[in-house]
Amino acid sequence: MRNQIFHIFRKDIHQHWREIALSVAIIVAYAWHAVSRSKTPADYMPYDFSFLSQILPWLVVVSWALLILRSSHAECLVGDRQFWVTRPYEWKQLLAAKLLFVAVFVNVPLLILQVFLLVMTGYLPISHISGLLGLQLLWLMVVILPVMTLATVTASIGQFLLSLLGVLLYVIALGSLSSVVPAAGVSGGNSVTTWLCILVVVGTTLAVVLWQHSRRRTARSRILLLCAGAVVPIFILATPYRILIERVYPQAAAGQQLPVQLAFDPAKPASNEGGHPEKNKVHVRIPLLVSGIANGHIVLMAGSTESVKAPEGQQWSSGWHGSGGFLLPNRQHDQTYITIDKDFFERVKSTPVKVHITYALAPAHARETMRIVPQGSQFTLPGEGRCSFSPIATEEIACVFPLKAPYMLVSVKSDEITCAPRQKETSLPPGTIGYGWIWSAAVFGAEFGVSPVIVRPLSLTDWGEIKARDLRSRVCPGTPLTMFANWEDLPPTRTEIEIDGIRLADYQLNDAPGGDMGGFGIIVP
Amino acid sequence: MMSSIIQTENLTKKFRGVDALNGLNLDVQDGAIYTLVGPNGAGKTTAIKILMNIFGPTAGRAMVLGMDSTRIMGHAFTAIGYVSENQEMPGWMRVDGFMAYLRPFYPLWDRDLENELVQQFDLPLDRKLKHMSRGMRMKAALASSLAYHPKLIVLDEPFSGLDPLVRDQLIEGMLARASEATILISSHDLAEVETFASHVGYLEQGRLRFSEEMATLTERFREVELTFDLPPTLPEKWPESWMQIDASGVVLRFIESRFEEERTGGEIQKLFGTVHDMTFTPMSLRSIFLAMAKAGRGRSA
Repeated sequence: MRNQIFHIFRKDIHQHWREIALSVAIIVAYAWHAVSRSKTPADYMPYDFSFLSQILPWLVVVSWALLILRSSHAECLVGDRQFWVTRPYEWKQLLAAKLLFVAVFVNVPLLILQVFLLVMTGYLPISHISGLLGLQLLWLMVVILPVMTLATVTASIGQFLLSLLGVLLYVIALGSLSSVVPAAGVSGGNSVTTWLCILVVVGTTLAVVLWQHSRRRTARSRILLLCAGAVVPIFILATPYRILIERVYPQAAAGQQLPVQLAFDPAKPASNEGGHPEKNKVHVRIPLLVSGIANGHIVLMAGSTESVKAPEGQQWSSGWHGSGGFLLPNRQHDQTYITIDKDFFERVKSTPVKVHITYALAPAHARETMRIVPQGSQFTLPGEGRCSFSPIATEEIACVFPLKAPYMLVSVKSDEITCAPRQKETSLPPGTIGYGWIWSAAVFGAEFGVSPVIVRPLSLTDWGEIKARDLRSRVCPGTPLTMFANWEDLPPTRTEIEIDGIRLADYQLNDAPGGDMGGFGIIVP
Repeated sequence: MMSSIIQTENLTKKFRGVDALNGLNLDVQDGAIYTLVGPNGAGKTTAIKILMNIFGPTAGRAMVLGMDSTRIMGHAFTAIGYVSENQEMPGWMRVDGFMAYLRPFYPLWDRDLENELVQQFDLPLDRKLKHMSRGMRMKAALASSLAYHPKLIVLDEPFSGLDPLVRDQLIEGMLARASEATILISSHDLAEVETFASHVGYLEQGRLRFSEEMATLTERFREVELTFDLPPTLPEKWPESWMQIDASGVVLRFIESRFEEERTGGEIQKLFGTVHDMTFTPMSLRSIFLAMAKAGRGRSA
């Protein structure tokens, strides 16, 4: 037969019509739910915890995964008893038939759903073709390829689910590697490793899919996948992070203007709260004085390394680790958290020590700054953002964006807040500036998910040292907002501070259970 | 001159270090109905699965229809019909749907022959394969493997567990195509096989103990019974071709595996002198198989 592709494809439709019908029903339910909950952008809620909103995206993913799995298992590549193995199937055409099936019943419905949701939100899909294609690529890499790979090396749904569980446990174990290699958390220093790992995983999964279809060597394919799984942590563990970080963040040349000036703040800390219990570790907070950040600029503290030297010659060094905090204009104070080995800390805590801190800094500046005075109705933001005050959570602004939210910094001056004071509410000190972020998780020009309509809250969460819980830190119609957008990365650099003669015990944080706890979050697709 | 349809050279397969096939040298000639027999675990199914490129060999090689077995895939299967006792069929398909699905894969699919086979096998076209008995499924599998005039038909234990009627139907269906194909069949059903096999190969512990024409095989095996006037003196060393030797009083029974009346008679004379009575009884394939299996067990023990 010259063309087996459509023949096998038609057979698969006939065989899996129930699964196809189920997935279509779930997509329709998803679209109906999305539209009925959000007739206008103003109806979008930044945090939608309703049962259907939580469960429907997962049902969409599961129904598509089931379709891919069932279609792949229809001509199962594992085992030696399948009738089709000794029939004149051409493997390239078989693979093409399966890909066609996935394209027609996963990719096309996804595209139609996303175009529909964009139109319903008032966006023109034609202007977002690259983003929509980027989303298709993301779905291919995040869902389709992994499911297809597992389907090609398993013989049943039970085997598939067990393998999936294995993959999830592996991913969790991989995540815990960050505690073993803290330097892997320094952005920029880990990019080579990250791309190598992605290359290994994607390359191996593609190779397994091709190899299984062409040769059906299941044992070897499984070994190949296990090898790829073993190579990733080896890469993570073997990467010379210090060299890479110091190359990405070079020491500033003599006379070079630093994006920020950092110095030790000699004032005694007002509070020692904020620690969390950690076995054999002690947390120390070193206060910093920050200056020199121009308006419209920010500095990401990508990572830091701390060393402590006691007069007796005892020494301790943290090595590079991720930091992740932003230094903002008009903020004179910040702090560095150091996690010190308890044994060392106990030995030197009461003696004056020398602390040396090196920071990896990634500055950026906003190419676009605008002042917006939101009123009750909608207002727009760069990146086709449409925002309005949420009718459900008053004084909370919800913004929608097509396919991806742009990184955006928002600032408000306390003097310009127009919200009427509530009972027992204290006003913010005049001249205080509050900041908030609109964050982005875009890869390939889009954020991964079923819906292409990205909803983000716009709230001011950073009031510096002022705990804004009981203060009038809200935004109401008429409160002017300054938006910083369209960020340009400036050359990254390294800076150091040296603090001589401090007693670490003065800066030790009290451990409070439930302080800054780590944990897992589940992202709804 | 006849050509080889299947030829293997030192074909070896190990599963986790255990030999399933150990240097198999097989030669199946064009037009033969070659039966591979042997006890359970002898390596028959493994050999067939290597020939069909379901498994790859650990060492050695196999040529099937002039092609290396590791290259048998896709279009090559338009000339091969393969049916196995434990084949997983698409149970959701009806018989007519199954035939219709397979039809376009084969350029030489013969609709008339398909109808003929469906009728001959009494296949219910409107029944799903998963709702059919094992025998019915085997018939559907065979019908779908014969309808395109394959040059090579490979059947792995096709009759095991089937009732005699179904077995007869399968054999009749297969033999009707024997003139246009070479058939390789592995089977335990020796009584059935004996009626149609042209060649037989005996596989044991992954090795081919013998491979020859059926007529030659049955010609060289005899049950021999010797009656003496007095209990004979038994020799210290028996001829290698004698198996299952049983001496009881004046009677000595054994199986001769290289029977030639003159030569065997001469050997008896040489060992025992005068024999009162001597009978040579032809053996069925089943008896030959059992004798070989017992001898094999004796060797391995």
